[in-house]
Amino acid sequence: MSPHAAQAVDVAAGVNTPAAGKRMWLRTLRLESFRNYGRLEVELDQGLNFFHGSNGSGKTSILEAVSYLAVARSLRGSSDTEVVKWGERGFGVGGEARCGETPLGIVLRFTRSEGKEVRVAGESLARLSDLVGVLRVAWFSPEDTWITKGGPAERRRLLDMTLCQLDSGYLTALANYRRTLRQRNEALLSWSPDEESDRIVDVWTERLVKYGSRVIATRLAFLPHFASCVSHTHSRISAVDELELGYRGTVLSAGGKEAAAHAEGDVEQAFREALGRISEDERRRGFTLLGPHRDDLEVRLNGRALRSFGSQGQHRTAAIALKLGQAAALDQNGQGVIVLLDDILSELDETRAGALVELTEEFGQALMTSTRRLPKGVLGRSTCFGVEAGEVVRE
Amino acid sequence: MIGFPASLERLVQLFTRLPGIGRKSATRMALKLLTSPEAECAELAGAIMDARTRTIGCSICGGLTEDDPCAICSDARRDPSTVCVVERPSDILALERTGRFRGRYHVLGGLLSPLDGIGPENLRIDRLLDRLEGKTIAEIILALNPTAEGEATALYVARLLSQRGINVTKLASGLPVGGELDLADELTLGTALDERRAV
Ligand SMILES: Nc1ncnc2c1ncn2[C@@H]1O[C@H](COP(=O)(O)OP(=O)(O)OP(=O)(O)O)[C@@H](O)[C@H]1O
Ligand SMILES: [Mg+2]
Ligand SMILES: [Zn+2]
Repeated sequence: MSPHAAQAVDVAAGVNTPAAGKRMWLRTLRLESFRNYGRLEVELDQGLNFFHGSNGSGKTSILEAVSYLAVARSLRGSSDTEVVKWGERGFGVGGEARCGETPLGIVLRFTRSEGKEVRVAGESLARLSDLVGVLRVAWFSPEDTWITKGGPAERRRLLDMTLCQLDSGYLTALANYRRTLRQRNEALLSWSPDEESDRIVDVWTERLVKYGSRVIATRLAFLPHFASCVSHTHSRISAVDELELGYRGTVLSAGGKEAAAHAEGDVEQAFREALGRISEDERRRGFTLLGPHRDDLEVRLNGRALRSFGSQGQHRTAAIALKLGQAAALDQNGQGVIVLLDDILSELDETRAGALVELTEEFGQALMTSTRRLPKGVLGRSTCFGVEAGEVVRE
Repeated sequence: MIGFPASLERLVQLFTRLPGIGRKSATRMALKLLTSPEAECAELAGAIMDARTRTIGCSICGGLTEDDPCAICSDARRDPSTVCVVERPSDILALERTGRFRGRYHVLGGLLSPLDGIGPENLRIDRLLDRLEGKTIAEIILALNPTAEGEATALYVARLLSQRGINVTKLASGLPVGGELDLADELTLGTALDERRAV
């Protein structure tokens, strides 16, 4: 039985509503010399906060500021100096988070000369990494459709990033696997047909099998839970399409619905045998031909590979489901996740947009941007803000 | 911009070649020496040369010593039928601090790493085999760091020795994963030693 399945918490489904009162959310957000904002203070609500305004008005910058309060850096991928308002020496982002009735102040300051400083409840943090976990966020932007459109590496990264946060043993096994893989490739490259060369390659093979099997077994054990979080989220946005995840492995494969409880020992044996079958080929070509570094998290839509047949909107929907499913899978203790959705409505039809808005309301809190106003029909209980040239007006 | 006088600059540069010494500490050390009594500077210079010429690798175990063989290798009370294999000489000191091991040591002088071009021929593995030749060996304990390279090296050595019918064990993995043997505290290391298991 997977350790993850046992702790399954389905945020998207609202299964953990008893804990909803204890969910963390951001009540106020303050910016100072951040992007095109001089000074700004906005009051946010639980549920969906919807920001609309023309191109270049400052919508994405608001989400970016929230990402600073959660992970002390820009999830848009910018450097600290880039977000400093032109002509200023530094920036500040502050916020009051709430967990039930308890308020928690978070302040981050950056100056070019002194770098970053973070204060939580007035206390300066010794390390920036101590901030991680106080406020959890999940960011989604249009570029994230690479998760489904791109190659296997994109999807492996999503899976690995999720597992590394849940299981520090996985993080170690993965790091050791990557290191061992490089060593083994080097050993294969300099292999010559003699006994000593074979002895060296065999040693690295055995170590690769050990670490790799831990990686594969953990992924397979996590898959059913992750797949159900993602499929469920997807079904909430699209009533017509059915999304399934599967693990297409070079050693072992599994459908997302099977309880893929493979004992590590069984995976080891399968991996060892698979490498044994291609050993001559590998020695000739000089690198490792199979293993978890070549596996794929397959996304199927209505029984077909999404990557080959998906439309724009279907890709977008699937990618959102993967990201929100990841957020749900990571939120094991029901602490809540602040979902940051940048400009994602453009490719969605009205039904899907409406369903997505409703879905985000079930997460602790969501901030969404768009160049258009929300259609009346999908407004729900959300709070709307108009953004214009560095000013934000609550409507 | 005017820098340090050439001789001072050279001293700072030499200090920065040492592990863990950055430009800042190198400068502090060099400036301190400038204002120290001449005798102290001479003593330091002498001590460096002295340690350099007197300290040698033990011809049996590879540990650091002034007399060859080293104190451990020539101590008749230490059990010669149990040998603990380590990566570096400093690992011997860490294991000695636990006070739990009464056998002998063998330093490999590195770990297998194809990426760095290090193969078995670059390690003191042949010496280990020579050393065991024709002797009754009760147990070989592999005390290598639990890193990718440490584990691979342990496996390589274990396979060679098992072929010769020698009993091989490995430190229990109580060590912090990826942690350094010579930084592990005595208690952890002692437990890992007590709970060693067959490879
Ligand atoms: N460091 C900075 N200082 C001042 N202004 C900046 C800085 N960096 C970006 N800007 C400007 O801030 C404005 C807001 O950028 P932002 O990305 O938030 O806009 P947006 O509302 O998301 O636009 P779009 O709808 O096109 O995505 C832009 O006009 C941009 O050129
Ligand atoms: Mg934008
Ligand atoms: Zn010795």
